[in-house]
Amino acid sequence: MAGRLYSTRQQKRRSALLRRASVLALALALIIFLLGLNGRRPLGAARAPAESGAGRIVSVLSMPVRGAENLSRSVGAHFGTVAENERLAAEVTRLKQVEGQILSLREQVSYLETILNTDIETVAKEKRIAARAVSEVRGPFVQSALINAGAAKGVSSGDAVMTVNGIYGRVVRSGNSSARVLLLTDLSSRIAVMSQRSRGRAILSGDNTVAPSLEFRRDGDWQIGDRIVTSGDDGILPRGLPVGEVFAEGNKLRAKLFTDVAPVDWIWVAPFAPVQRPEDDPAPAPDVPTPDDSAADAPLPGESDAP
Amino acid sequence: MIDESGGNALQTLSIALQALGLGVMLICISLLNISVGAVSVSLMYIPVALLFFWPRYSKFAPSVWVALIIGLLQDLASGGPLGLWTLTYTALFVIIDPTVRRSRGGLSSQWSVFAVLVLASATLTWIFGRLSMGVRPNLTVMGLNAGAVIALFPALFFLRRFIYQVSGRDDVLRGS
Repeated sequence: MAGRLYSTRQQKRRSALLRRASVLALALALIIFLLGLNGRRPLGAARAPAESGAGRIVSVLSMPVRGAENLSRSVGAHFGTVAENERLAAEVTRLKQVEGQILSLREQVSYLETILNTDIETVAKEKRIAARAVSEVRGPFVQSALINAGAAKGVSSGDAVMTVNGIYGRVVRSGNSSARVLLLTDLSSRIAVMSQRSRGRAILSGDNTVAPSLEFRRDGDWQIGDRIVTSGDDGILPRGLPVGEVFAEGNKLRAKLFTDVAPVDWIWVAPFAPVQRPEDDPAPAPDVPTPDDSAADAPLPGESDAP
Repeated sequence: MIDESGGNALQTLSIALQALGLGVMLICISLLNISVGAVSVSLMYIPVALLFFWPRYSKFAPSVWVALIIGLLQDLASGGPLGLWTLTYTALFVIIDPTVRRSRGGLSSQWSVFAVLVLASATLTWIFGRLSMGVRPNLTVMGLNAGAVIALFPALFFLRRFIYQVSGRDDVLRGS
């Protein structure tokens, strides 16, 4: 009897302890969730080491996955080799003509730069930091990637990340050996773009779908098929980076991204020094001598060079 | 000499740490994106397997904290909204723990329970994601990712069985 009573009491104590543990854990989880509401990013200091650690493991884990993907792509490509060869031969002919045009235009730009005494920025700086996208998360909550290069290699927050096809995203957080890239398709991605044909401006706004939408076009001249490039108006990204092509979905214009053709593996980071606000970049004070300076520079009695 | 309660505490801690280690591995797998033709899937719900298998061996109190830490680590490593996975895994663990502890049987019955867990997890993340981001998360992508993890369950089931057989712990398998 006494034993059963003891056992019941112990069981009650145990369930009370379990209830308390559940309530405490749930309350803590809820607090963490509330801290992260409205796009706030608390625990920023903890994110970089977590991403760095995960990046190292994922870079190893992703190797067989990428290998299998590349193998299946190669097998698929093998069957269309003849057709692909013909298409490439036509493309080479077309590109030879384009190359001639580019050389001629470069000469014109160089001539104009000389006579106007200016520097027309048409492409991003030449510096490139090569890296591998070790993990690409294209989930319903976030569209980002981890790359295996960080501050140690010169990657910093805000840098544009490119593939051979076009802009892939921009660095939002840089750890020592890894960095988090926010893809153009992410819900919180906004970049200033323009139509290469008409120079009409818009904001490319990600919405976690494969094709971000073109917002704030106002009465700009946009047509289906227009090539989209970065406008540089945001002062964050350089001007002229290829983004995608315009297509319509209902009454919305969207961008078919150039990078959305194959799984992204190798990328490069293009460091860019944005244009600074005058308040953040004050001009050096003019070198006007102060009365004290003139007094100090004045020859002392008896030091005159005069004979 | 370690007394019984001290030994139990040590064992509880050891099991919790093993769960944490396995959870970190599963989180890393959840960050992988696998492209099959034009379809791209991510195994973001795979850490649910830990919540499914682990309660059979561990005590509730430390495990609920392990669920919270695993969720928090996934939040930090995935770069998504903070607290989404933390709250999902903690709530899921509190709700499902008694059911999972009682869940026994062969592959098909455990597969069904696991499928329900993954779908419950997807529902919770949809609700919390909606609250956190202010827009509806893409149901198709979520369904695809959940389906991929459910389809992977037999592999996890047999891998676990293989590990126990190799390590001579058949008694655990007979219990489950």
